[in-house]
Amino acid sequence: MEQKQFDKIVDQQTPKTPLFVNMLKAFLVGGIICTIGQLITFFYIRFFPFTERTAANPTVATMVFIAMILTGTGLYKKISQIGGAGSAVPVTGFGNAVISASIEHKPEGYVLGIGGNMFKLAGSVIVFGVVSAFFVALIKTILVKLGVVSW
Amino acid sequence: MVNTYGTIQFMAKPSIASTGVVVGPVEKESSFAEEFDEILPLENEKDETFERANTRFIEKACEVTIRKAHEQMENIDVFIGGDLINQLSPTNFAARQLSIPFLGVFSACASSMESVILGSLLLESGNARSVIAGASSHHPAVERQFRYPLEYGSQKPGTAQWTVTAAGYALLQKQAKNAPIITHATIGRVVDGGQTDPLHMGAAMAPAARDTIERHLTNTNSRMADYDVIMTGDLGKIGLSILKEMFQDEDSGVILQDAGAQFYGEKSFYNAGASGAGCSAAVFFSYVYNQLKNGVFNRVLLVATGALLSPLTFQQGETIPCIAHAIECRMEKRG
Amino acid sequence: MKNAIYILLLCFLTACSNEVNEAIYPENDSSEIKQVLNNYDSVKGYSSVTDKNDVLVAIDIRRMSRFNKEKIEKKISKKLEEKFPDKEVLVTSDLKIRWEVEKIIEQSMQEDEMTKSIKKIKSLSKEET
Repeated sequence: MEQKQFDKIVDQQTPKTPLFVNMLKAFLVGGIICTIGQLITFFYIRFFPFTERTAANPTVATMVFIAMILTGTGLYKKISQIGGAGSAVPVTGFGNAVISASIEHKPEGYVLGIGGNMFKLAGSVIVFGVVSAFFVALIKTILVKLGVVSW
Repeated sequence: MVNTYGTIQFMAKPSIASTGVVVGPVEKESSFAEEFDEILPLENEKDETFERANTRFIEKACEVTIRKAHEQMENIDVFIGGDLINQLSPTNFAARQLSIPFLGVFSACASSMESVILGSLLLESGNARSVIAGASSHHPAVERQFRYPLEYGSQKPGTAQWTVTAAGYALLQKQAKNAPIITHATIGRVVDGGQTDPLHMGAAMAPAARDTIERHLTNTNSRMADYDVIMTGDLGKIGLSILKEMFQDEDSGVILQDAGAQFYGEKSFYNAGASGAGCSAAVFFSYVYNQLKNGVFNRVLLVATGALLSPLTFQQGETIPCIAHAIECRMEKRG
Repeated sequence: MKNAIYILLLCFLTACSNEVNEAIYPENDSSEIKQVLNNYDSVKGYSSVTDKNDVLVAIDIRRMSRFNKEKIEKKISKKLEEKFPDKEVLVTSDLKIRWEVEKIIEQSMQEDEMTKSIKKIKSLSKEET
């Protein structure tokens, strides 16, 4: 059987990914996570001496903590199956990546297991986060110097 | 013994004297659940690693197999087995406990049939009287090696398959009473369909399954309709429909079946179905074996399919080469 | 599941309430602040407190103008500094500071108590992340 013919059969038999439905689900799940984050921000602003700017840090910490509990109980996996990118992109997805890797590698010990593998998945997020932040800052600096935008 | 292009004909009537299948808690939902010998309530005990649990499953399956045949562990000549973990450590560690002369085999999910073929050859040559052969897989252990951490939230597409937690072993002896005999075996060729998606194994393995089945049919001069069932190991629902489409045979619709596609029934949680070395071993050595023994099936072709990928090769952009090993079992008329 | 959806919908709906709030405290010398702020379309509402050293203005910026919020804050504070050359001016759209300012107005604080609160608010706004 020729390769082309085989590829055609594979194409025919493989169910198409429901792109629109998946995007809608990702939007809803991501939106709900972000709404919860916003509510936590309001909570910190209201009851603690945090301003809009400084409330971001404790909010992120709280969201990661919630993600940790959901990961440990196996719920985050189920949310991700529905949400896809909607649950992977917010900071909870980052928390999930770090925590799931740490849980996974606990049997190999604390130093080589957890310490060595914690950022197995999340490491690339940090690397490319820093790299892209550098380039965004560079572009903005140039634009400000040219007088197109202001800080 | 006549060897024609990879198909072996056994003259000494090696037979499957008994089988033992031990599965994990998730497999309770399987449509074959009643056929399994033992369903353990936990994937791993407290303070036990997944790899260690895999070893325990193998040991247990071997014990069950030998107990069912009323044999002693000391009387087994050779132990042949395989699994999916690096360096076959679970099977190696199980062999340490069993202390039987040991051969470790690896052809991914086709290990189950590879070990049976090797065991039958040992019987055929007269160099062994009792061989225990099979394979196992353990969901959490395999998942962490081949994919992401267990609790990592990644969306699985509809083509993904669920690696089963199961160990299936069979005791091979010459001319055991009231047992199905292995008449032929076909050693697979490594076939590459050019697929690169590790979450769509069915498509990658279908060409290998087709190659092996086709060669087996030609070399034994038979047609598909001569078999009660031709069962592949773990193509999954989508892989099976690809295989059927490739054959374009009027009989393929009913006779071609897949253990992985049927393993979890229609439950959508498992997407395309089950996979893993334990999947083919568990189904072949429980459901198919029992049907043969009860006389429902008389002649079956068991094709275990394996995708020979590693986490490294698919990250490096290599295609997924696959292999399929087949054995033909017959139940002789009682009398 | 259905209940959860209703609760969520309720949350979305209540967030859209469109209250315009214009409060200046103490009210005696308010006209100048009002004049400045009414010139800006993007400012939806404001609350302001003044004591002898400070002018504190918390503004509520229209949603789509929020991208330029720092620019707007700077412009307004420049205008107000011209009007109150002898006082320290703080213009901000921060929610926390708005709430704190509203608290002062609600409780109608006395002079010395108010000065203490304003000091606290100013230190809050200077805090870095």
